Amino acid sequence: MRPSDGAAAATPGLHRRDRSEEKWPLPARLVRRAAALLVWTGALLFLSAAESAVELHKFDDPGLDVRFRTLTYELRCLVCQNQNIADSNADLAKDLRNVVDRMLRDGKSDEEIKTFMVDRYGEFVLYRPRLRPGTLVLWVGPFLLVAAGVGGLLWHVRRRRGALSGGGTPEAADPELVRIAALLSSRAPEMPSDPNGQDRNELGSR
Amino acid sequence: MNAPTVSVPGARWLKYVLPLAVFAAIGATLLYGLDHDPREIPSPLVGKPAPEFSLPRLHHPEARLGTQDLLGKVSLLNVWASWCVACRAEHPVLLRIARELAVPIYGLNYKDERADAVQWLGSLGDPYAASAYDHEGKVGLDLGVYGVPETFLIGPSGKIVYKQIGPIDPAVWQKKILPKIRAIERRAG
Repeated sequence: MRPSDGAAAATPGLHRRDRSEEKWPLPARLVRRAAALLVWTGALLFLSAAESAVELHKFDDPGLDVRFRTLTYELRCLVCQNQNIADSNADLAKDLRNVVDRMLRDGKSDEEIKTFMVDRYGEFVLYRPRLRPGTLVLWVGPFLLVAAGVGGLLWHVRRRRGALSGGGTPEAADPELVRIAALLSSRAPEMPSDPNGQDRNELGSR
Repeated sequence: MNAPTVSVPGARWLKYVLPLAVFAAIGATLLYGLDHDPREIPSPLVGKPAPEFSLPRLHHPEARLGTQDLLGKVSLLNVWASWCVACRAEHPVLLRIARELAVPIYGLNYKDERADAVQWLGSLGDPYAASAYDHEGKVGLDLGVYGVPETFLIGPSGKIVYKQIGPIDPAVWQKKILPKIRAIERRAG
């Protein structure tokens, strides 16, 4: 294939670049090395993290596994208060994870495990608090607030509408609107009666 | 803006009172938040009997310290560890309480190494009538301990009267713990 040979000879740089990495310019080579290094380090980190998270609590029964994850997800770590015990690295969280693990293996129910925690640390350990007199505000409060907001809005709207319609025409509500309406209605018959716009000049001159 | 207020009597003063009430409510909430530490979670155990325990003693592993030893007197159960920095700050206060008052302080050495704990008490002084050695933190768990130091005031019947989360400083001692001890003593006659 003569034409292609000729093309390769004409552009030797292109041909060489295709052949091997060593022929790349130095900065590009460095970038490639760094990228490869990053990928491998990242993969290693990810692997080791995944391993350390799994290694502690492994259940033969997948059902237990799900319950373990759900429970530790819903229990608050009391040391680092905005984390659950599944995410927290605190010593206490580790202890509590072990307790949940042990109690699950002992065949305790979710409710028993939660009660165990609440008996020791109070209702506060539950991210999903139980419905009882003390927590009623938490459950009902948001709905009450929304209801109050909607109610207030409705009341406001109706009051305004009532005030507007109370005086007959909407304009009656505001003295300034009454004046504007009066002014407009006094002009209204003049405007369409004048096809040539002469009246408008007249208006301007007044 | 004139017309709506005219149509509903009372709306005029409501316009001034309502924002004021909302402001007062927010202000009161913030004021309450000022001297309430969100990290101090009220213990559900206060007012209930202390959970049963029996642990080897720190200095004498063959002897035991348990709930039975706390009965019949007002006592303090102080949860501490040699790795706990705040305990070091609290320590002089405990030493003074032990020296000046007839209230025995029992220690619960929490998730510590025995040698470290013994050495800690050896160099800083030992305010405890006795210390229990809770290496795994099991009793700490039953007591709902989530930070060290924590101190339980326990009545003669073994009931938890008060829980102090964080170190006891002279102010806490004077204002919170001492009055409760006096109250128990008065009731006992």
